[in-house]
Amino acid sequence: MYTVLLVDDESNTLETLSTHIHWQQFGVDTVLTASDGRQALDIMSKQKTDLLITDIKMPHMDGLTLLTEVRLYHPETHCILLTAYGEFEYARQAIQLGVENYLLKPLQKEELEETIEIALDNIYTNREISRQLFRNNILLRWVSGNISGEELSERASLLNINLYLPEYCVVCISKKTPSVSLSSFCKTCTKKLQDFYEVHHFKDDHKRWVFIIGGSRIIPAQIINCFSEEANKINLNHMITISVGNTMSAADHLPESYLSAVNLLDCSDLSTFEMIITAAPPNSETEADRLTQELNSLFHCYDEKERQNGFHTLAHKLLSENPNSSTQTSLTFISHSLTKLFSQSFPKHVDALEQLHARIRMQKTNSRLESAKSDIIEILEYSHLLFQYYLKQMSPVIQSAINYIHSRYAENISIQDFCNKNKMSSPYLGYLFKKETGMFFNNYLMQHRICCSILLLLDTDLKISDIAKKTGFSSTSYYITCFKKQTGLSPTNYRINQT
Amino acid sequence: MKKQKKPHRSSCSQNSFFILLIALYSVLLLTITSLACFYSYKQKQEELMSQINTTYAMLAQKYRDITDNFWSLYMPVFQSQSDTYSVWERYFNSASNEPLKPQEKPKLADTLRQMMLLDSNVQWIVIYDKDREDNYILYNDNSSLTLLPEDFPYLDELNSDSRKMELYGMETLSNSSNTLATFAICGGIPSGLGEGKILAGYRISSLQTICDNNSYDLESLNYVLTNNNEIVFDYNGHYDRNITYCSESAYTGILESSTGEKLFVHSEVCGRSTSLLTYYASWQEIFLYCHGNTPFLILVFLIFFIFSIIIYLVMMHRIKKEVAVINKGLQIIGENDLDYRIPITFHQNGLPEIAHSINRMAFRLKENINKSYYYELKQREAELSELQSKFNPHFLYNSLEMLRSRCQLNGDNKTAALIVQLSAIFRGFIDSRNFIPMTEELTFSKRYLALFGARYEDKVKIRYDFDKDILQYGIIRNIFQPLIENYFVHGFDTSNDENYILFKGKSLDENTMILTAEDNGNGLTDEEIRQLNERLHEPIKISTESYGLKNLHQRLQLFYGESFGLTIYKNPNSPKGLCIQMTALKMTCNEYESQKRGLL
Repeated sequence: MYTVLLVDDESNTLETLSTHIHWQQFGVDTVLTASDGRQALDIMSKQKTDLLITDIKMPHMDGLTLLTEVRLYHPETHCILLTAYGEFEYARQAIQLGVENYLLKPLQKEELEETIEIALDNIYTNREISRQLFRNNILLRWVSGNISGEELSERASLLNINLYLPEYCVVCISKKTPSVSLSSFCKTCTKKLQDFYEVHHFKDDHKRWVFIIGGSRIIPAQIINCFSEEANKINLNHMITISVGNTMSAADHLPESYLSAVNLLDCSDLSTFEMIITAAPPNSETEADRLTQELNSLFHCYDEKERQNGFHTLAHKLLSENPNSSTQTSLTFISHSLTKLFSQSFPKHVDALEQLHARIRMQKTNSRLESAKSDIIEILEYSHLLFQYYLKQMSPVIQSAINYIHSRYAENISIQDFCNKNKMSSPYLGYLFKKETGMFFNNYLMQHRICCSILLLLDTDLKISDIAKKTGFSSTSYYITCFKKQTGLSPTNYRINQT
Repeated sequence: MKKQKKPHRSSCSQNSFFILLIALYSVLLLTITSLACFYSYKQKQEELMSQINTTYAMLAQKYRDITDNFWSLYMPVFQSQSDTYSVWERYFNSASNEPLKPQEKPKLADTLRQMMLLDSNVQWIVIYDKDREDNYILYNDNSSLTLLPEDFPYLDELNSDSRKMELYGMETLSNSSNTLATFAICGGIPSGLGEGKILAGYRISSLQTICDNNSYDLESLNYVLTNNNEIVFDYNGHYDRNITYCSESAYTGILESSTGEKLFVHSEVCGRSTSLLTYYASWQEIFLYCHGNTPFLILVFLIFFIFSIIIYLVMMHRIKKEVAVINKGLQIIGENDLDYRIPITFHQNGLPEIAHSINRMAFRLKENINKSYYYELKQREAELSELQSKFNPHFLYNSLEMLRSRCQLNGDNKTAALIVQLSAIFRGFIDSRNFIPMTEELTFSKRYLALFGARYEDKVKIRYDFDKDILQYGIIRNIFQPLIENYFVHGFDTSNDENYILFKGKSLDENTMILTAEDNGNGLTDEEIRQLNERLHEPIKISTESYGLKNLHQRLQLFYGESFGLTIYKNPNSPKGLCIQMTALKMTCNEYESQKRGLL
């Protein structure tokens, strides 16, 4: 569990910071406050602090001096800077000191929450503190859509990123072999591409390398060519997978490109030796989402019989939907959905996906309908076992928390409620949850809610507001924001896309 | 307005002054001409008179000579010792009234020829005795002595009793060969010889020749010699008292003739007490003759006069024309077109300098206007920064943060969000800097677009196309805001779902960048675009005239210089949209700051 230190000479700010952030779900058990830099250093010398949030202008010792001291004596402490000044110079110094982000007062709630979340995520993943930290955070928040346009354009001018180009796209690279290091490869690719485009690359929270490419005209073939040439040079071509996202016409729409690139990676048939994937899967994203959700509920079902029946009907439905094609299509589709489900549920366990893909690769295609059905059921059974295995790897309390989420998501629940019920400390649960699932409790809850809402969107004619209510969102607008963040589309457009 | 009238009035007074000068000049010219005429007249008259007088004197001399010579001519008659004396005696002796003997005739003739030799003017000599039946005449043509014809003109005079020397007027007589115009002088013979007279006829032509040799263009000029009221010589040859004026006594002056003509007359006693030599001429003719040079002088005067008038007119025209150019220029400048420059190619001295100083005045005026405009901007800037220094932003944002946190503590999340929005707007507006990084201006434009375009979110696509190097430069504040406003007020097409507005930032050359807002909206016709451009580029005349785009154009020009600014043209990538293009200098914020410091 972690300790946070808040430093500000304004008591109101300290109070809101300490009370209005869900520290528990982030696994933070101690929130300390100090009113100036000197006091803060005193506290830090007595207690190990993981995250420091400090104002710049304070009596006795200002924020920047504090940061410099902290870098010297507590190099492992992550820092967030608050400032009432919009001065570039302060920001630049702060970046040199390796801050997570610097925030302008008055603080914007979402901005603050996103920043704290990504900072804690970096703490959990033991990300190295460096000058690149700020840049990585901003780029990651940009591609994942967790940043406001205002903040993005301000930070972009600091980072020398051009947000005002006509076209943007995202290229994602994931490793097939975990042992390879890609950083030098990425650097050369970036250098090469920079002749034609504006290129920024970074490593995202799923250990994928992400390239943000902008230019007046994006030619995917040229980009692909560049990557494959470089990969062939150093014989990397069998060890990595590269996907190119859709080209977008504005910087604000970059998350869509990222989502499409990530989806391409997720649903790629990892068995193939092809390095570059640009082709979209045969089944639409919405179909895959639906199947993923159906599998999710079946895998969490504890009634043996019900599950068996479920598998049967699914297999039947799949085969009857694609009667003419070989079972290969259905297999790819199932593989796509299963990959999605596994990466949603166990983002930390890359080995789970590998095992799954190994199993699917082994499956021979069968032309006979009956045997094809049993093949699919077999695969589903296997993946269920695998799913249960990884679920069982988690501590019982996390399992019960996940169960709690799955059964009670429609209600207004929180980590607090669960902890009160089970008489345990919520920071501890938050810490454990993040450690074992790779996700914060709230994020997991929200992801599940969105997944459930997808089924409602596709299969019912319910109004968006009703769906939001049914899936436990406090307000429709919040639901829409969250939905967009996860799928890249608004609920209405998602519904339209299906047909 | 005052300035407009002034040159006009001065040109008017200048005009009358010129006219006065011309008049004075003319009067002077006229005086000189009259004086010249007068002296020319005087001189001519004197010349004429002296010539006439010379002729007159010569005439008088000739006449005197003739009369004086008569005695010497006559003398041989008295030479009693000569052998002819007896012949004379026999001739004049009334007793011997018998014809001359043949041997006497040659002797007489010889004597008479000797007499003739003494005076070449003598044409003939008559010896006469009224008691004789036959008297003789000898002609000066080597002929012999002939009998005096019956019709001899001087018979009456010869028959008179006088013994004194007499002079008789002109008569003509003809001998065998020709007709002779002569006057005659008669003398008596010595008493010892008896009764008789010797008459010599003198050539008129000897006098005539003198006059002819000194003849003048004066037609009415006449010389007349009278003796006892008998005309001896009339230059005109009339020998008629009705026609020829004859003076009765010595006189010099102007007279009225019988025909009512004014005559200038000079007559003097000459030779003998009974002889009067007169010359006369028509006064009018003399007058005209003496004024011979006057017409020429008057012509010269007139030519000079007309010439000066022409010069005056031409100069006036010229000046008027050139003054009109200046006047027009002043009028244009008066209408606040301070960029107008009066051409300085004038012929009139001084005008180029005037035009130049007017141009300089316009330039200074413009500069001052710009300066005051600039000062006004500076003033506002100063006021803003003063406001800002009074209103410490750190304090402001900290207070806002305090407010926000209180709201959040009280559960009022909406107000908290509003405070954040408000502070974002403050950040955009409360900024003392006039020159900001391009990225900040773009951020501000995005914020503004979010406010303005929220209603149309689905109907309009906001696009950007900025080269990376453009982003490193700075720009004056709020340049996109008027373009966005303009787009949503005029350009945005509500019926179209495919609206777009594209902001572009490109490099034009080493020093210049082009910022463009391109849309596919409602657009304008070519004519409207032309007019709009014209309105944009003409200088501000009234302070209230300024509007969004024009203001932007002015700001760009004021900040970057005349060659920068705003232009509107048709969007080449869309059937009807517009492009609004701005040119600006490539200047980073650091360069601007150091430049500003350098200026201070």
